[in-house]
This record gives sequence, structure tokens and C-alpha cells, in this order.
Amino acid sequence: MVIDFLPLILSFKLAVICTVVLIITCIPLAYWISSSTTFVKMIIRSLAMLPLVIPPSVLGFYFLILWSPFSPVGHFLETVFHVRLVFSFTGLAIALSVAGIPFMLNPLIAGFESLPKSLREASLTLGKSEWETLLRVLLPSIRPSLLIGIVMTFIHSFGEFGMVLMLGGKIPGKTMTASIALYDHVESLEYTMAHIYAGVITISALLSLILLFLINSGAVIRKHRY
Amino acid sequence: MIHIDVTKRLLSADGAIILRVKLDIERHDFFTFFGKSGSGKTTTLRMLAGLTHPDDGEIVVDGSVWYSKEKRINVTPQHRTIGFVFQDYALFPAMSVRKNLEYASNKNQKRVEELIDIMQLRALEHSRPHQLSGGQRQRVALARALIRSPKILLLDEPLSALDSEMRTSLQNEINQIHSSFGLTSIIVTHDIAEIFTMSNKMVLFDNGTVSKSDSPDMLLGNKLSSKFRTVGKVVSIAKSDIAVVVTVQSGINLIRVVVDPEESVTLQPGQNVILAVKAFAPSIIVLNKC
Repeated sequence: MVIDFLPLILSFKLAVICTVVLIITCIPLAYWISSSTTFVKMIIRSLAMLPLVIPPSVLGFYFLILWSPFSPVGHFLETVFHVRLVFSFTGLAIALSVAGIPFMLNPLIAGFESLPKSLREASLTLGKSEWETLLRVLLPSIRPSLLIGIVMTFIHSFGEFGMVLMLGGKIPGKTMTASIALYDHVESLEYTMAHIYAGVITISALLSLILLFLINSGAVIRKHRY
Repeated sequence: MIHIDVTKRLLSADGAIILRVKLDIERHDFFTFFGKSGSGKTTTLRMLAGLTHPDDGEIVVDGSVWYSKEKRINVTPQHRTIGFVFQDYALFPAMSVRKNLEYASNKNQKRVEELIDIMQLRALEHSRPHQLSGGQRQRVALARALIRSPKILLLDEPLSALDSEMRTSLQNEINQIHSSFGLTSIIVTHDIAEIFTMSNKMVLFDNGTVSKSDSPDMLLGNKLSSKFRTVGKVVSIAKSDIAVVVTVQSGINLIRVVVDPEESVTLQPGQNVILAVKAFAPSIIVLNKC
């Protein structure tokens, strides 16, 4: 029996890319949402929550339609940038990043909202810019929330199935992720291989969660030791 | 000199009020904003720091305009030369005491060392804020506010969460810093004793109107000419046939005074009072330094 590691490596690569993309984009977005009082904030917050409540296959379907070479957007991407996002690794990475927004954004917003406003204001009166305040004062103060966001986004992107199947198909080395490979082996009644993929996904998710709680409870213990 | 002439719509417990503040604060004044909750004291302090925008008017400090609705000027908090001490200290939880000061110092290590020594923080420099007591946190907050050598120090109820002993000691420290650093300071407080101990000028905030500023004696003391005076709280009132014995707590001291029964009618336990004694031949005892 030869184990094909390619789907696992592909899933890992996708999860790392999505997590990095969402760390960079969601930190300023969460900060803005938590400090803004405008109506636009409510709309953007609702939109950002949408991937959490609609099935991944539905989201994948809309991406498929949007990026199809027959749609204006897909046609534009193909003729101007010579890029086709359907059935491609890049397309999957973008779609999975969108689907992962709530997993990163929610804990970050909760973290920022739990901080007293005076921290930001104190930093401003000390002559610091909003960016410096965000990166040097506020973000280090919500480290546990950031860690929750990173782990949840990573686990979600690593194991996502419905959207990948809808949008990526199952091209080995390109879009055949671990979840798709698992489904493929079950369909072919190859249960030993299916067990290996399912086991790796479950154990890596469990280990990530244990690591998360260990680090965060360590932080809590340190905080209350004195 | 600080010139404030601003209006701001506020939502208080009694509904919406229009806060109108017109004040001139002289250089080196230690000024108190006094009044009940929601009367606009903290809002005025925040408008001076640039953390809250006035609806109209202007703020001019030493000839430079910090805010003017008419001229569309609103200097950001980063560019106003103030030190702000928050009621909840606002120390950065992920940084040690030293890092809190270094963050504010723009790599001026000499200034960091100087303030660590002045505020006696050497033993605490590597502690995190959650490891400190209330008084220690307030000393760090004060040191951090002073690190950029501001000309104006704004204190928003800085001592309200501390016990009376710590409060008295910090009042003295703040007074010394105010004089030795040549600051113009403004404090928001509810504590009458604090006003008399710390400030030379004050103003009363009452439902949006800000009356004329004056010395605490003139505004709160009814122009008393007593030689000795202390501020305290009525603890108990014991009545006998011909007199009433009133116990007043001032700091950590309990003082018993005999009061005319008629005069005692206006007194109630818990009231803040000024205790004034006219002493013609006081005993003065010199305390030896230990």
C-alpha cells in the first residue's frame, strides 16, 4: 500500500496560505469594525458572517458561476490577466480565504471589543499613530484571541470539502485536497486509505486545539499567578 | 495660557444638555473640574486632549490653535503637548512597567531612567501591570504621561480607586511633580479634600453651565478666615442634653467636636464637611526626623 501524501501537502499549503492572507486582512478589518459606529460597519460585519451560515457548496457554486469563462468577471480575468480561477489552486486559495473570514474575524473583533477604549486613547496621547497603536499595543493585548483565530482558520481551511469539490474538482496536485481524496477512496471502497486521510485530518485538528488551549490557559495561569 | 470656549451636546441622566465651557487657565495653575457625574468634566478634559470633538468653539493653548470650528482646525491628540492620566490607568497589559515607559519615550532612554527614579519604580520595572497594586499602577501611569515632557497634565479622577492613605501620599507626589516640572495641571475629582490639598483654582460644572473659576476657598469655603481647616466626612452625631458631639473623619484621623444643637440639625452622617477651628494659641510640636 502506497500512501499518497500529495493531497495532505496540498491541504496544508492551502491552509497556510488562507491563514496568512486572513491574518493580514482581518486584523485591520476587525480593528475598524470594533472601533467604528457607522451603519456601514453593520453591513460589512453581516457580510463577513455570511460564509458561516450558508453551506460551503452554495458559496462554491457562486464562485463557480462568477469565475466561469462565460461570466463577465471570468471573461475579464481570462482576457486581461490570462488567469482562470475555476479548477485551479489559486481559485481555491481565494475562495477558501473568503469562506474562512468569520473564523478569523470573530475572535479578533471579540478581542478588540474586550479591551478598554482608554488603551487606544492613551497610546494616541503618547504621540503614536493608529497603526503603531494597533500593532504594538492592541494586538499584543489580544494574543489569545489572535491564536484562536489562527487555529480555527487553519483547521477549517485544512478540512474544507463542499466548496473544494464544487469549485476545484479533483485534479491531483492542484485541487485534490485531503478531504476530496478521502471522499474518493470511500467511493472506491478503499477504506484503509480513507481511514488514513480521515485520521490525519482529525488528529491534526485535535492537536491544534490542544495546543491552542495549552498556550491560552498558560497565558491565563500566568496572568492570575500574582 | 489655556483658553477654552466650546460647546458640546451631552447625554446625561437628566436627558440631553448643552455643555458650554468658557475658561481661561493660567500657566502653572493647578486647576480642578468639580461637579456631579455627567456634568461634562471629563468631556471637557477629553476635548482638551483631542479625544472628543467639540460641536463648536475654539481651544487655544499658548497662542496656538488646537481646535477651531470656524478655521476648521483640529490638532490630533498626537500633536497636542499634553500628558493624560486615565481613571483606569490604561497601562498596556502586554508590556512591563519599563516597556510602558519606553514605548512612550521615543527611544529617549535617559528620560525613562529619570522617571523610573523619580517615581520610585526601579524595583517594579520588569513587572507587568496586573502584578501591581492600584497605587503602583497610578505611579506608572503618571510616569508614562510625563515622559514626553508635556507642558499640560490632565488627570481624570486619578485617585478615585485608591484607599485614603495611598490617596494622600499620591496627592503629595502629584503636587511635587506639578511644581518641580513647571506644569499646568487640570484634575477631575469628586473629592472635596483633594481639591483643597491639590489645586489653587477650580470651577464648578452644573448641568452644562460652567460658572466662573476661582480659588477653592472662595467657591467652597464661604470665604472662611479660619486659621486651621480640614476637610472630612461626618461619621456620627451623638446628642446630649446641652450639646451635640460630632465625629468627623479626616484622612485617617477621627476628630470629635462639640457643636451647638441648633447647628447640628443641618448635619447628617456621610456628609462632606469643612471643619474650621480658630486657634489663638496653638501648640506647635516639632517632629524629629527618623
